[in-house]
Amino acid sequence: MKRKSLKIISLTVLILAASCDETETVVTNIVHRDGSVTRRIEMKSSKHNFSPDIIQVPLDSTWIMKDSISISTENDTVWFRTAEKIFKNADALNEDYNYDKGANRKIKRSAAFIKKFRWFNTFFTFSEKLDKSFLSGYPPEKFLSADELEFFYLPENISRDKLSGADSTKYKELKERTDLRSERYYWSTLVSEWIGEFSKLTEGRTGAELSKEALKMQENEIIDSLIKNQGDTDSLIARVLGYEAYSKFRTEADSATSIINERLDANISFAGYTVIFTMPGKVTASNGFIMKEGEIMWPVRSEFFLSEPYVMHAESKMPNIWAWFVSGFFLLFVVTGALRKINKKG
Amino acid sequence: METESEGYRKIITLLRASKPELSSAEKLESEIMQRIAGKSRAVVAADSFISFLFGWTYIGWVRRSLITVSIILVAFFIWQQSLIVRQINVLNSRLLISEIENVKYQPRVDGKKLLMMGKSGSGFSDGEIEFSEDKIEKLLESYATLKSDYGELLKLINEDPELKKLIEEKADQNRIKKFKL
Repeated sequence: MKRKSLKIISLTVLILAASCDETETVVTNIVHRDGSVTRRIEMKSSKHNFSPDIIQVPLDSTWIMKDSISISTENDTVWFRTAEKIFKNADALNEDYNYDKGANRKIKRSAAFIKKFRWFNTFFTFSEKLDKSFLSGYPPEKFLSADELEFFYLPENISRDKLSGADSTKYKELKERTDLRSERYYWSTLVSEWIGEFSKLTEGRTGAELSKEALKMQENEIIDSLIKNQGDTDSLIARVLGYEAYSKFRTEADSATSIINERLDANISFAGYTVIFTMPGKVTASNGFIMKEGEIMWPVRSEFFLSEPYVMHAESKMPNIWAWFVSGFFLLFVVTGALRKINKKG
Repeated sequence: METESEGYRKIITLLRASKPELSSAEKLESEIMQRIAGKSRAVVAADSFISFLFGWTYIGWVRRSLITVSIILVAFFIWQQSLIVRQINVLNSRLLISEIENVKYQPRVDGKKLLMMGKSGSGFSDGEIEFSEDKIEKLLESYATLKSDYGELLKLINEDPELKKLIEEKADQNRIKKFKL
């Protein structure tokens, strides 16, 4: 296993997230009643370079673009680019994702729109999903408590505000706890993935001592060794598998490591951005952060879809006024009939 | 008194004797009969329409079905609305973000204003000044045009000694004026 790349995972993620040269991007999806989506991408960079291959979401010449710059009193120049395009439906968005040549092309993303007629109201659901990077990882819920999870998914500016706000001591403690447990979550996911891949590659050729279940039993020990940085990875694998088995299955062990490195690379090279949904009608349900104007916001960062898909969804409703009138008349008709019948009986 | 009562009796007798003669008594009779029949027909029609409209109340299974549908409709309405209210309550408990720190398209400052600020040497005001790339391009274009026009003007002046002399005189006059001030 490439020990260095594993050890620096947390650091790399943080560095990538805080990178100054990275284009800060906000993607706004304005969802319409008919399922069409107006997508607006707002980009901000210290360089006048908005080349599609460095942008977080698919962008090409078919978009309507507008540039502007801002010069601060310190003569720092910030470049802005706004791009806008109307997509006929979610499938058109998915097509763009499928042919993405941008910075996040290695991560599979998709969008979905569902319109449900429910007599009194029509419900609209729009979602965007980022597929998980690792197949055999653990969900973060296994390692993080409810408040830690809440902190984990917070947008960066909000967590920063909390850390410097009135309850800073409380949040600093929460951050430390979350960081510690998150580290264990990352390592556990990596080790679990490695065991999964190694078991697949050696399926039917190993004894019970090298079965998936047997390796899983040693998982915690491996994770502890990795966190404490005890010895190099090769000797750790050799120790876990047994020196004889290691020499026999060294190729498979290396292949499993390569597969993981590839997936890890796709994950940590992901450039984060912010997603905003504007739904038709009144928003009734969502797993995002509500903004003042009724928009819903999500931060998108690589650690969110390490072992579980990251789904951003929102539901809204629009009342069907005509259905309310029809129902009212129908009820009036039935009630009048029933009363008439009762009167005649009386 | 006798004369008065006698006259009265005569008038009555005369009136009785002169009965009104109907030109078409039969026609009048039939018209009256038709009107009476028409009125009762309208009442009957309205009655029969209402009976038809609410005729279902006499058919047991239809009555029961319509009442059941009404109850289901009301129950569905209550269930749907309570579900929406519950969902909105959950949503309201989620974190509200007042603003997004990230990128938002900034309002721009006119290029002319920027140029004036630069000339006056006052520098920029606090915060940031934004202007579009289009405006920068226009500014640069104007500058290039001005530069080439100025070059051409200088060339023209140098080629014409009389014009050169005239301009030099004017420039001297201006300098003297400035000095006096």
